[in-house]
Amino acid sequence: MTFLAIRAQIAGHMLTAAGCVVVIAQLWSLPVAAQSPLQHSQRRQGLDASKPLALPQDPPIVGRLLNGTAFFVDQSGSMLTARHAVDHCARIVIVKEQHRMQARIVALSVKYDLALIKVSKTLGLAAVFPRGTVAAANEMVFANAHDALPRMRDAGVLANSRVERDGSEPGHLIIDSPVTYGASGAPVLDKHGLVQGVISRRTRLDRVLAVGLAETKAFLAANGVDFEQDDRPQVSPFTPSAERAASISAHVTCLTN
Amino acid sequence: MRRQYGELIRSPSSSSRRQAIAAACALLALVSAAAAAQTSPFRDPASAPPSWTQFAKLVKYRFEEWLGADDAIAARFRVYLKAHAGASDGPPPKLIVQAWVSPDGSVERVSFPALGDAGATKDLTTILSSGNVGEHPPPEMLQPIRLRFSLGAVK
Repeated sequence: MTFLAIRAQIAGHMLTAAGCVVVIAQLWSLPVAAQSPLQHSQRRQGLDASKPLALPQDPPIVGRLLNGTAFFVDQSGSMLTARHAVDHCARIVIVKEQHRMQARIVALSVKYDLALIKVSKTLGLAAVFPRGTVAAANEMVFANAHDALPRMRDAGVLANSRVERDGSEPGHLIIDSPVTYGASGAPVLDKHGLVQGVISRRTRLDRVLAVGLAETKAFLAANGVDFEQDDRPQVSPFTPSAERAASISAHVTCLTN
Repeated sequence: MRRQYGELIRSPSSSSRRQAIAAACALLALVSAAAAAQTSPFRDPASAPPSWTQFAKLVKYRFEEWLGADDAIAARFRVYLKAHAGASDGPPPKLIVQAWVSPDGSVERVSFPALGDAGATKDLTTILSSGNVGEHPPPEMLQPIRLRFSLGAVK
């Protein structure tokens, strides 16, 4: 009698569990496909083969978190990041050291994976862009997710990526780089500490696309951002690039409904 | 998921407190008007290499952060400023701070004219020497770095 009751109870639990799996599977698949800004931006741009570098933090059921990087471009709290890292967000939160601030979208680029967002004040330094000096083929540059910078700063990393120039991606800077999830929107810094591009997505194991310098500056200018330009070195040759990257950038979190 | 979402969104009380702190900092107007690397020989900001200017800007930012920090010493110093601003024995409207930054980026020493209150002078010295600016100073940069702060009158 007891044995049969236990069997019936187990069977009941199994049925309940199976039902939950079905419900969770539905909750899991439908909202993700419907809500992920990554997939929206991919479809619009026809970039199905490539892989955006904003990090989905948790398996989503109701909402979703995306983690990327943004950096300051003026003294009044304007920041650049990747469009796919902040598009379709219910809320955008910037985290830098002990600060946590809500950001709003000012502009989204139609053609490139760029977004201009704004917080109440600039934390740290604003980026400096070259006037005309573009990174040459095989030049070593630096880029990484904001969260990875302390580790790289401690290691004294001067550069971690190499510029490739093959003309296959107009408007973009192609780099051979180890950057991974969370790096979307990160600045690509040259040896002088100048921003050469904005990390967008990985297209191959050894190939990352960043929106190019001219396109980035044109986007900022079109939106009235008073950004600084200078071809002179902004850092000492011995300054680890991760230090300057940390001084200008912040973690950006996109919360979707 | 819900737990992490909750962590990202601060409670209203925490938010209000931080806003109050931020407002207090803004009222104090502890803003550096100029940053220059200076010693003998003097280099004004216009002729200094951009890497020096950028580093001085970073030091200025850190000093502002530390002055507005949510700790007992910084809070006590802000209370002193608020209570004595504009008074004959109060802090000067502008304060020149000289800072020496060690090769690892930590503030080694600061120097400024005494404020007329030994406790406040000690507090400001402690605050400005309290941390690391986050970058190594350019090795060739002349030190001390000279920063000018405006201590806004707050009543």
